[in-house]
Amino acid sequence: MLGKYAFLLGLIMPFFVSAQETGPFSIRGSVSACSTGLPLSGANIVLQKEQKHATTDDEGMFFLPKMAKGSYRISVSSIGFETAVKTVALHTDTSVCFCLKPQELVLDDVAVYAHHLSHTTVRVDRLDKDALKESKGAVLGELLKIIPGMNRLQTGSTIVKPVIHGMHGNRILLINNGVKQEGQQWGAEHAPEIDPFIATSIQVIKGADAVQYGADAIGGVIIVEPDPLPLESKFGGSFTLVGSSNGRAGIGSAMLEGTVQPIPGLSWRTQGSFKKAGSVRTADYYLMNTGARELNYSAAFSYRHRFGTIDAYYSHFDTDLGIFSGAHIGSLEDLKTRIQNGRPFIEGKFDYNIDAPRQKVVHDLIKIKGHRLLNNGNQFTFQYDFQRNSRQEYDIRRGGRSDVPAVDLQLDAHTVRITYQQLRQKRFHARLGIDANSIVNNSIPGTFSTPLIPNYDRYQVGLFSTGKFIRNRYEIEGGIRYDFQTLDAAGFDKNKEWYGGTHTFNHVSGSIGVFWKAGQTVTFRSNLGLAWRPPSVNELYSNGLHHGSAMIEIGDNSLRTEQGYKWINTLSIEGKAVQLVLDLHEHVLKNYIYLKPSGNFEESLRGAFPVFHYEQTDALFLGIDATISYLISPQFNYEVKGSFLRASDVSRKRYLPMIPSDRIGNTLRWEANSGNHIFGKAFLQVQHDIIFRQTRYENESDFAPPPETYGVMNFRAGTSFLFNGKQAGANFTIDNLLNVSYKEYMNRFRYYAHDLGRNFTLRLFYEF
Amino acid sequence: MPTTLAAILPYGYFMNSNQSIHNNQLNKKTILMKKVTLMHTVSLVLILIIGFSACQKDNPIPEDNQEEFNSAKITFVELTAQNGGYLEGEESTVIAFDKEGKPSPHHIHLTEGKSYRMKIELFYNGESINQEIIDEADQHQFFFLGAPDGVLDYAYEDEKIGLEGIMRIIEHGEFDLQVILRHGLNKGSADAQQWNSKTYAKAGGTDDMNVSFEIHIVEEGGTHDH
Repeated sequence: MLGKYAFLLGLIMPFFVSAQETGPFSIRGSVSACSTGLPLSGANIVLQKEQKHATTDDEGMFFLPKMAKGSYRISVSSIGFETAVKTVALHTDTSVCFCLKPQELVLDDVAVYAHHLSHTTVRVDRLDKDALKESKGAVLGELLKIIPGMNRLQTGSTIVKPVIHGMHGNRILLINNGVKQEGQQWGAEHAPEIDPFIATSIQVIKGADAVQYGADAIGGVIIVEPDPLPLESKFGGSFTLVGSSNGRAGIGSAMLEGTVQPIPGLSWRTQGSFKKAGSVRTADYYLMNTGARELNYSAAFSYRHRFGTIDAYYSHFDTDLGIFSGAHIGSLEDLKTRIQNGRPFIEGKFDYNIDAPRQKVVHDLIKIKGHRLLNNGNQFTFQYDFQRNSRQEYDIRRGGRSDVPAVDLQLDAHTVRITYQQLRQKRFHARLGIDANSIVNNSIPGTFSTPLIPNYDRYQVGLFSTGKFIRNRYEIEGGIRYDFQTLDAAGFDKNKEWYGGTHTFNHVSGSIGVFWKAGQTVTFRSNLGLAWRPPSVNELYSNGLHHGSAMIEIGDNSLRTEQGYKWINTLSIEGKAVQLVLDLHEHVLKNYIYLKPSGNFEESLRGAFPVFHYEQTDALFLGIDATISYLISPQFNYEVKGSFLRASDVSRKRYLPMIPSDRIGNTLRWEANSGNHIFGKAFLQVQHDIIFRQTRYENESDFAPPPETYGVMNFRAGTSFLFNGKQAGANFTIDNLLNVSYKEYMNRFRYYAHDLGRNFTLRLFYEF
Repeated sequence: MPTTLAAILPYGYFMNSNQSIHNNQLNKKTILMKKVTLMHTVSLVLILIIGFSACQKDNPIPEDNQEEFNSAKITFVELTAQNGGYLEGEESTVIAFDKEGKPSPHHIHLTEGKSYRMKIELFYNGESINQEIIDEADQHQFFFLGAPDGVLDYAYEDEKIGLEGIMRIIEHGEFDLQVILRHGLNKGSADAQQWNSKTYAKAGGTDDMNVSFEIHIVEEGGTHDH
């Protein structure tokens, strides 16, 4: 009982820390980029003489309370912008606006860099606008592969799930424009329903950040964010066109944004993208039925007033994906025969048509958010979001049933999140929040096929608090969270017998971390996160044949919550010529859930299928991610990065299946950096990745041994320039330059086919 | 604690709490506004509560796995040659398979030198689904493996499906006959031209059925003690 009170006290204690009284006035302000009018978050506000500091929030706003009458020299700085300085004579509450000019000098390496956000004790890897431009048209999981420690779990060429330090699916969270993505992420063959074209920044937090984001963030968090809406009166937009040779893909995207003149403070943005792709090709042959269609659009509004900001957002994601037909398996014998052959028996030809097996996924998202910068300098945020995810999977079936979905699921998710954030009081930042979430997932009747998972509803409530103590040389942050969750499931199995039940889960999560600036160029971060996740519905209840892998998966409704302690340490050295980032991570998982082969076979008219059970064990993940870059000259940069992961079942002293193998990448990049003429910002890049064979696996846990070590070379070139005063550019890439025929261990279709062959891609973009 | 209730309530409560209001009229307006916004807040909370409580799963409905079949039967009807064709006799041998593919009886006897019409029927809950196979004749084909060379011969009688065909018994012997129904294969492939093609998988497609049973071939008028 005492423990509970102590816990609650711990949650609310930071909010009793009072501010030092120095004066009756306040300075409120906003910071934006002069070029775009977009608000700048994370900009530093400094009153040098008075030794006062502040940081702009997500809306680009800041607040300096308790100020005495007088004259103040305010300096505002942000990475990539020139510092702006203004002097304010304060004799009443005052507002001041800053607009920062972009720096002429481009950063040495803009592809990926660490960026302080609110998570200073966990390094945040970030793909910024320029890095994303170089990969436009790729799916989310593909975009992230350049970050050390990030991998992909593929189901063929069309379905790619991001993997952080060996964790994927329900073990990582996706935050899409501030909304926790809720879809059918339990399935290994279910890709995230996110259009990367909405993003101007994608961040990866590799720590267990369950405090902020709740259960499931056991392996890490991926944050997809668009730019904030424009503040200034303007009309603008961008167009992007992408064409790829492999799959003969055409992709287009357009974005328009502006403000509404008659209503000051009202701004808007609308965006859309489409994609059409046909059968892709390995080095030697086409993969039949691997086309894709996509049509996505979104609209956003923001209204800023003295009382705060109200944002509304809607997005629609619609995709139709072909699944490589050679992966459709009728029996274990089929699987064995195909593994023996190592490539499809029928080598297809190019085709835009998409037949069964295929997936059709539609995801709608609505978000309403209110943000209030309070008079006392604190912030209050309210957010409601609704998501509807419809997934239909079509299989090769008899009697015209190929046009009837074999899987037809609809998920509705409502989430309310309220946070109260206290800033800058004695350099102590604190946040208190509550979120509630309901999910209903139903199978739409009429599939003529027993659903893989039961219908269920899930309710969750979480209460959390975080605090950060900031000093010049170090920062300490910590957080605690309590979650309560109920799950009610019901379904009928293939024998038409009812199954299901009610489960309740509750857990405390926590994190503590330190950031230490050891010198001018050396920083060290250490963060320990305790996170958990309840077993997903398929882990509790699945009972049936998985056609893609020809195995029977059987759930266990007595599974307990999975708990993970992730300790991640990062050393960063940012010298003039040499930069080093070294991540060491240790992840201890109690009750780790995985599929274990039972050794039994289930007989049927189709033949015998191996039976796998979901079981729990204690697991240990140890790993290193390292990036070293060397600025050979102002134009040339060489970078080498690698990630190494070891994962084992410590209870049974065995290796865990589907763990990414070691990989090392080398990149040589040349950048012109010589003005705004057509080749002024040109770059050339050659990259070579070596992916080693996974040697740490158990024979009986897989149908075939892991593929051999392979190397892939990629080439990239591009430029951006001012065209009639507007930004324009082009880039050209060749992936798998040498057209190497290879198989990737983390591709679930490696049994039947090779990975993609050479691919030429041309991207054109124009911003106005 | 600097926080007040007004400070943490949404939208309508975004009034400046430090504002000093001296004008009575303004004060009344403010009170009215607060009442209105309080109603908005309460309404919002109620909508959310109603919305959340309305979120419940549907009662599940059991599905008929119509695409699967759960039993099968193979009938061997003895034939007699007549006018260059065959005439079905009254004698027949039947072997049935349950949903696990288990044969009953365990084995059958066929007679050396005789010909049989082999009829295969597939059932879902007792109803034949053969017509579905016939309707998609271009996507289905049976293969029969396991017989030693020269022991039997087979000829498709339908559109190279194998639901009906003539099996001619040439030599005596005992063996397991594997009956495989492929779906989605390329029937034009060289690997799909023989009824006993061991490389049938190279023609593509997947197994719809893959069962085995023993055939004991006895000599005409010969004895077999089990």
